[in-house]
Amino acid sequence: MPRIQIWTPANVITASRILAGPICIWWLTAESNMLVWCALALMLIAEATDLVDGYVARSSSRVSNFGKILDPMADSLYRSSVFIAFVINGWMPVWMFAIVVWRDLTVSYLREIAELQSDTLAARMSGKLKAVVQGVAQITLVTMVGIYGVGSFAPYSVTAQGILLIATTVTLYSLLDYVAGVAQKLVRPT
Amino acid sequence: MNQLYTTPNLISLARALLGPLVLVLLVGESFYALLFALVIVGIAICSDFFDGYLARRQGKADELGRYMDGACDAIFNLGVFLGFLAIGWLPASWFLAIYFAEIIVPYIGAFAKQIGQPFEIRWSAKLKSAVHPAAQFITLATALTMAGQSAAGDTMIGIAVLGAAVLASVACLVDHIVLAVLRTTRHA
Repeated sequence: MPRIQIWTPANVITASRILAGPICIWWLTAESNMLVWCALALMLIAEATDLVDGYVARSSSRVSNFGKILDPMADSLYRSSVFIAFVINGWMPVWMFAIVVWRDLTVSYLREIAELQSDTLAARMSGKLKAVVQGVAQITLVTMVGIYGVGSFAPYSVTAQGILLIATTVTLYSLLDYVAGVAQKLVRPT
Repeated sequence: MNQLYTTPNLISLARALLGPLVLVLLVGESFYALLFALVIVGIAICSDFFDGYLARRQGKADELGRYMDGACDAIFNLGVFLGFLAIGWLPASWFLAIYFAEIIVPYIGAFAKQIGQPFEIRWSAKLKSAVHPAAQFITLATALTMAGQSAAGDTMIGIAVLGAAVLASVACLVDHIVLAVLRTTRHA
């Protein structure tokens, strides 16, 4: 059996994204404009790691099953952390966050269910779209907070809520797409 | 072959759909909304026992049902905990601990299957699935007893039971991580 490679450079980069989540919560909820800008810088780095880890894994020919599991998990944990900071600050309604939570939770279980069929749950286009839209929405919103200032930012402005609504809609679409994809495989006669 | 549309699986799915309903009721925060939420949590607890019993009785207890049961429990429980978060009964850090455990454990399970070392149902998962609904029921019952005079999350009972729910999640997470490390080491 091949040796499992855990601490490859790509996996270390991916794991660093998980650590970025709690730091973003701390900085975004500190009610300091300077820390909002620091959080934005960290978020940009975290988004960059999402692009870099896959490239590093492929270029070093060290694409591993562990990495394929760690990458979507790190995405979920990091983005949910940023969204929970939005909820704490009152920038995002709980129902929108609930859809993010349920989508990520459902996909994590679908991954286990897909393994029952000896089938690894492949990344779907809706998942990639969701990641891009959520990342753009988070960065745009934090940039707006930085520009307007923590005290002056109007979280229920049409722009802010519109951005989050688009991200939520795409997240919901991704949830339904993954459920439909796995359900089709489960009911298909073998 | 695993069957998707069995009665026990449909009961589990119905329980998952009750999660968003409880969230809406909790955000309402009126006495009757909380009472209805308590009734739904009670129904969810009963349905969790009933679907397992029915699956065994009908001879339809399979792996798919086991995972669907776990997934639907998690979706329902997070709906309730999100509601507690929204009305200030559950600190964000506590919610995050519960949520991180719920997300990470299935990923560890999928990885264990990939390396051919699947997990059996762990004691920590059973403990968590007993503690979470109990904590939700007691918290809601406490809030109703106090008729909204004080947030349940601020009482000793609320803090104790919700703290127990967080500890159960953390224990489940640590147990699965330790097991995964041991299995990975053995596999390597």
